Amino acid sequence: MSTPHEQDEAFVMLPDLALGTLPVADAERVIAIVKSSPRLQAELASLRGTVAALGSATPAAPIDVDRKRAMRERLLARASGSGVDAPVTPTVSPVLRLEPVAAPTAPNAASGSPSRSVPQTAPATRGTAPRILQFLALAASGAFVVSLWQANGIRQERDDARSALKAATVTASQLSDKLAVSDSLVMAMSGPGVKVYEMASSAVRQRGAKMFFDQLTNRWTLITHNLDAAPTGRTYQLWLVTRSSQKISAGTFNTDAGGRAVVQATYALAAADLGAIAITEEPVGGSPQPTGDILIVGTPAR
Amino acid sequence: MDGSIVRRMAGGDESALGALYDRWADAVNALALRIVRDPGEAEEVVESVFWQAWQQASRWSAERGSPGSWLLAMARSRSLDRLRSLRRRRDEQPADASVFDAVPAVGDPCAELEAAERATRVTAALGTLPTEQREVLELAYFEGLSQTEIAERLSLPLGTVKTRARLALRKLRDRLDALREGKA
Repeated sequence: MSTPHEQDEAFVMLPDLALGTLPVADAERVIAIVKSSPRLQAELASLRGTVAALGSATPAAPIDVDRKRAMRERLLARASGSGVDAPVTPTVSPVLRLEPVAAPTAPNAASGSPSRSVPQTAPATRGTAPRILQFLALAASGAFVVSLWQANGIRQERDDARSALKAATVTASQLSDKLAVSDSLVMAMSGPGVKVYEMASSAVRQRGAKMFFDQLTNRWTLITHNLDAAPTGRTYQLWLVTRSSQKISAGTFNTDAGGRAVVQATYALAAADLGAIAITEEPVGGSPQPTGDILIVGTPAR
Repeated sequence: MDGSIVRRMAGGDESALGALYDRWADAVNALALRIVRDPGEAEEVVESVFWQAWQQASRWSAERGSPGSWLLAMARSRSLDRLRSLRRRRDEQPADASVFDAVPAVGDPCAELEAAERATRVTAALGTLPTEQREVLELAYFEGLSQTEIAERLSLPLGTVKTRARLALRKLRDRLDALREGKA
């Protein structure tokens, strides 16, 4: 329980806490005092609302229409779980050019010189004209087939190029996501206000975990190692246990084939109030309170 | 309205994600751009914020603030992470206001209007603060600087920075309340 004097001191520092400019030790102290005072809690909530409003005080910056649409499609595709992202940028469809294919000229017809087989006299022309027309028709058909074949080839190239672009775009998007996640993880594990808790198993020596608590952002990051995947129908659940034995669920998770999992949760809890961190095995979906045995546990060093 | 959209998202309604995106993408982009000062980086923040919103929609509750505040808080947090990461990767460049100049004026008119009204209200409230108080507030919020870093940046005693920041935030809160209630 805090004294009125401590509460008055904390009240003065609430804007710093809301803005996130308070040094970690002071922030922990103020948070502990705030918890004991509804008046301070209301003031902090109000100031946090004001801080959030600051985000609106920015010059308008609409995203380019095409990029915005593509981003929307990508998000919806990911949300639908299709696993295939929408293209990042609208691609300009390659213009399908059907190059004029020169129709094979009739033998001698283009030479301009008289021919033995095609005399220039009218009666002779009357007799050979149908054959020339037939030949020209055949030649045109041939040219048409060649054109189709070429067009198909170009279409195939276009489709291949589109597929390659789409694959590259998806890869770039995935890499970008991975980089963002990595950046976020690095910050969550190496920021100035990060506390690290070692967690171990009493049953399996190799099994363990590390919890990183960024006190400035209240972000908890758990990394497990050598924790076998949970049995079918079961899941792992992470618990923050306060010094007053309150058990707060920080989410459920499962591990990969290497026994590794990275779990992040955001919860405001002063480091001084943390009694333990524990992982239990629970039914899929998690439990309101732990029901399984504690598999891995860590306690803060006092 | 935004609250029901987020609840639909929590129920797995993908169209709700689209609706939230349509309403807030530009505002989130504006904040991210203000912090990271790079349009490409800002757009990556926007996408990651909405993806996070989709994944964590079930965790949102009205007691924790409006969906807009929730999105902007995520945008600020991710933008500051990215800004710090960028600072590590390259020498810090001074703020370049020109990045705000050449933005295309296109988008959803309703969402833009709401965003413009919000921005006008907060900007008006900020405008009533003394310059030196507003400066401290902006360095803390948009650049994520600690009190000590702000004191170093402005060559001011730490105590002065604390006093200015505290006065500024409480005044801003009162001013926003007054604007909301139509007293100003």
